[in-house]
Amino acid sequence: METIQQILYGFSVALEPINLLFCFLGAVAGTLVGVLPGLGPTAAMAMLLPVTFGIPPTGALIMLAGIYYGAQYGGSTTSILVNIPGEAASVVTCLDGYQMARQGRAGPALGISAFGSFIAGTIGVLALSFVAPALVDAALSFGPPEYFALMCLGLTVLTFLAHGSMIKALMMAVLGLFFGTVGIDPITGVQRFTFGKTDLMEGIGMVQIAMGMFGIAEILSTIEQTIKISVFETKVKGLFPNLEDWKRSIGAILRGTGIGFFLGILPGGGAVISSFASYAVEKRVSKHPEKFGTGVIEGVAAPEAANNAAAQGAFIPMITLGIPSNVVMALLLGALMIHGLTPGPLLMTQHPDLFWGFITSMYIGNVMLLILNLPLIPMWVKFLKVPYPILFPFILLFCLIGVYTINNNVFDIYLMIFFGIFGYLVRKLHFEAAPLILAVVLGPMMEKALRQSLTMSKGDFSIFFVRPISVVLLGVAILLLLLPMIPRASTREKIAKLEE
Amino acid sequence: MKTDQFNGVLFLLISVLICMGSLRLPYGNVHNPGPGFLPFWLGVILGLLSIILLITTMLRRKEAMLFRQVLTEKIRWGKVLIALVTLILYGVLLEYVGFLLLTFFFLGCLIRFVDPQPWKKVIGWALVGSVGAYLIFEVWMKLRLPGGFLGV
Repeated sequence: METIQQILYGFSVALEPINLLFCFLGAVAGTLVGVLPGLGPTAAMAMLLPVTFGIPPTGALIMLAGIYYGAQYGGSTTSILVNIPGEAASVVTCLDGYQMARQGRAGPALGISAFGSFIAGTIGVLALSFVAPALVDAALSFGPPEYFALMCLGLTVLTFLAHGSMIKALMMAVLGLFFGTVGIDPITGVQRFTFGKTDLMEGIGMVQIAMGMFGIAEILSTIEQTIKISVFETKVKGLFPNLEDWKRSIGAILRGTGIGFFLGILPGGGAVISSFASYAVEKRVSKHPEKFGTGVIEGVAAPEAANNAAAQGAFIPMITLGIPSNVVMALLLGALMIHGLTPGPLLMTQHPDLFWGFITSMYIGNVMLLILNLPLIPMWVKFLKVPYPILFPFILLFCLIGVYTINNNVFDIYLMIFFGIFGYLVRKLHFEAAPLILAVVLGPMMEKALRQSLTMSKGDFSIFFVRPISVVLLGVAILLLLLPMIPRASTREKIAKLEE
Repeated sequence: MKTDQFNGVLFLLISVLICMGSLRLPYGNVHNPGPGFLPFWLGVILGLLSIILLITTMLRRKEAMLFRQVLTEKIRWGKVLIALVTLILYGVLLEYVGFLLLTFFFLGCLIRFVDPQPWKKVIGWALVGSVGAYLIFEVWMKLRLPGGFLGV
């Protein structure tokens, strides 16, 4: 009963006109970056983060979250119409969505993806509002060793799910942890790897790295090739799926929601992986698996539901434990900290307006997106027609303004460009950026937890192995590290195959 | 040379640098780690991972991506370079030239020289873009961007 009361309180916060506006702005901006290729939610959130410095934390969080789930919606539109996923979580949607569009069924494909996303988002938010308080209760008993173990698990899962080589993903994570140590050591005050530069004393900001490695690097790798985008010229009509479509999709949507939500909660999981998993599941339960890839509506409904549910699930560890499960959550966490809030289990009790207002705003955001996305599809398609040679200088400009206004310091621009070049080069060498960024955020938190744990135990490492929660978490992490050594059994290969 | 062999060697070098840098910091001891403790062991782990990468790449017979291919792929290196130089110049000149004027040249330069557009479009977009960005960020959001010698 108490939860319902709190949800109602949350609605009263989220429905304040100013918060509604932030929610709307976030959802529109998110849909826009989801539609534009080469600009993912991560880069967009990093770019808009400085803009939110001037507004209250609740509004800031609501707007940033809106960008995130808005991008999930927008990404599907381009997958279906142009066969170009606006962002990674919509890759699977291309398989059947584009085929449907070619058969003249772009309308129902877009419709089911919007409705599927809406249903999944709604169930996801409801589940979130019931799971989160329970988790907060459990988390209040966590000490530094548990946090350390949990962060280890988070990083391991992320590297485990990375595409390609797990060793290379681990290398990126370790390098990220190292970048996290740059600056003044919080415990002893010693300068580490600052080369005597004042600008580096506060450490390397996550926003600078994220904008460099996701924004600048992405653009560099796009302009190195000659780009041709041809929009599928078709009249989008009849957005509402018919009864037959619904019959075939409703099961897929519900299964996708379940898969997405639980994979989303897992540290390191998230929208991308859950969309692939749900597609695979649908193919398995289907009576006609051979038709997948030729334009079946379940193949659009399931992954779209899954990536939206995962987007909601991913908020759980971030808002209850203060631990980001993916890069987007890491950015949100950074935003909370910039606003002077301490993420973690105390957030819910100390700032109930922020906590519940934020959760319910996602529900409102979902309604807005449904209203926004369906009638506005022709407008989004127009944005796709802006030629890239004119679009990319503007994206670069937004990155520059965003990174400069964090501290009004030109050094941040250089830092971003450095990480842009770095990100571009490691991409060429087939490394992934995500584990590095998550590690940069987690690094200082992990080091603090590690050193606090060792102070608690007077230097005895067994503290991690005698406390039940931490030993289980570390055990799972070690298991995941060892798993790829068992040949052929790994799901990673299957996923890689699916992606091809 | 396979790409991952190159990667292994490169990151092994980086790990050595990290370890050397860390040893200059107070290490503390196992029971009371100092500021140099974690970076040093991160360096060691990175080194070990690089060695594992080297060994597994050499053992694997599967045809792998050759490092040569990375370099000779059809890539418009020149365009990437132009974009990078423009970006760096933006950082260097921002506080002297000022946001409004520099943004005009920044946008114009990228639109004209990366994928050359006709001059009409270049000037039009650069004008609309720089004035628009100025109005949004400086006038509306009051982000206090550098005025430069124009003082705006």
